[in-house]
Amino acid sequence: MSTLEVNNIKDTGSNSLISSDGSGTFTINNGVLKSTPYFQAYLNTSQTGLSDGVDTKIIFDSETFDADSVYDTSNGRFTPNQAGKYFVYAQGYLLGPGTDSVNTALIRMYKNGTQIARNIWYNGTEWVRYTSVTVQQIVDMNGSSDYIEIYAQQDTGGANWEIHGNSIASTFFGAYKLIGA
Amino acid sequence: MSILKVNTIQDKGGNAIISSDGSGTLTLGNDALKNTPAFKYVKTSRQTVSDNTYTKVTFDTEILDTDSAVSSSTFTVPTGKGGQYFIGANLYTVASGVTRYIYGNLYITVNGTFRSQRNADFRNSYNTYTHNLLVSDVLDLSAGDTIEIQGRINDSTSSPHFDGDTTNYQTYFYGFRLIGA
Repeated sequence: MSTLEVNNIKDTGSNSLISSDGSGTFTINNGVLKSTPYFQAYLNTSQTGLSDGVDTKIIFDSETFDADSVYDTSNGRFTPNQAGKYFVYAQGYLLGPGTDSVNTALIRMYKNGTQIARNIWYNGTEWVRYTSVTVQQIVDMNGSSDYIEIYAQQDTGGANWEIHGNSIASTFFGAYKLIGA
Repeated sequence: MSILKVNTIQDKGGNAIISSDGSGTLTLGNDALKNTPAFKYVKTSRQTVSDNTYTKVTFDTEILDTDSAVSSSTFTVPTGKGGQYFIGANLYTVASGVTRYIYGNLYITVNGTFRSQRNADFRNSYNTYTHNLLVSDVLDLSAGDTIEIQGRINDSTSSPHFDGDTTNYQTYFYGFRLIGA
């Protein structure tokens, strides 16, 4: 057994990789070792008056965390600043205009404007008031220009619908980087 | 403050743990530091299945497979890679026609045993046609354990199918190991 006691490990260029405060509190100083960037955002204010059967981008207007500023609440885009594989997930709470007003709901994940995953809830000739739809994916991102957006759609038979927002994050969007994948 | 400046950290056996190019670009040499194995497979073609019968879902296209651990739609935990895994699947289930979808089930199986489950049950008024089922879970897995996805559709008339395509990406299977869990 060989043991080396040290509080800071740097490369020869003096870039810190890992450090400790000497009491076992550990700090990772290189992004390759972290599941970062990561973020989670949610829709706090509902998007209402949406057109029947039309894809609508969800602009998640509030953030739970976003230390690396990789999500933009103005345009709904996740644009990571590090290349790698990311686990990306989203859920939409889609609300019809009234009882028995919805028979189709779907959520789509887009990368650079192209759909890469979707999840559809289709209830045929039955109609309900609301449903939640969820999508998850592992996505390869280039760390510069690649971005992810989330879209939703409902079939309400003609009437307006909404993407429901609230403070308990029923509609959310998040991602984190997988290490070494 | 004690500082160690070095570009390669190895154990006493000469096994690389972490290395740097001296400019902060880090390479992980030990799998315990990575979210691997990581994999994602999609289904791009239709799979007709027997009515009301659990059937293994086949995934014909590899998107990611860091350890070549998926064969014939079965993920096998490689030697030395046991641990906690995040595993998920999304399955687009389709009945033989409108108002024929009675219920659908999706399972993650571990060594052939049903574990995590997602259901959609419309048997009181089966007026639906298709349904997306998404399941995900964290599973404690050992080397050699096998993971498969099983689905079932109860169709009121004839043969249903699991759908796959290259535009909507509604049927896929993915997973990765958690670090240190």
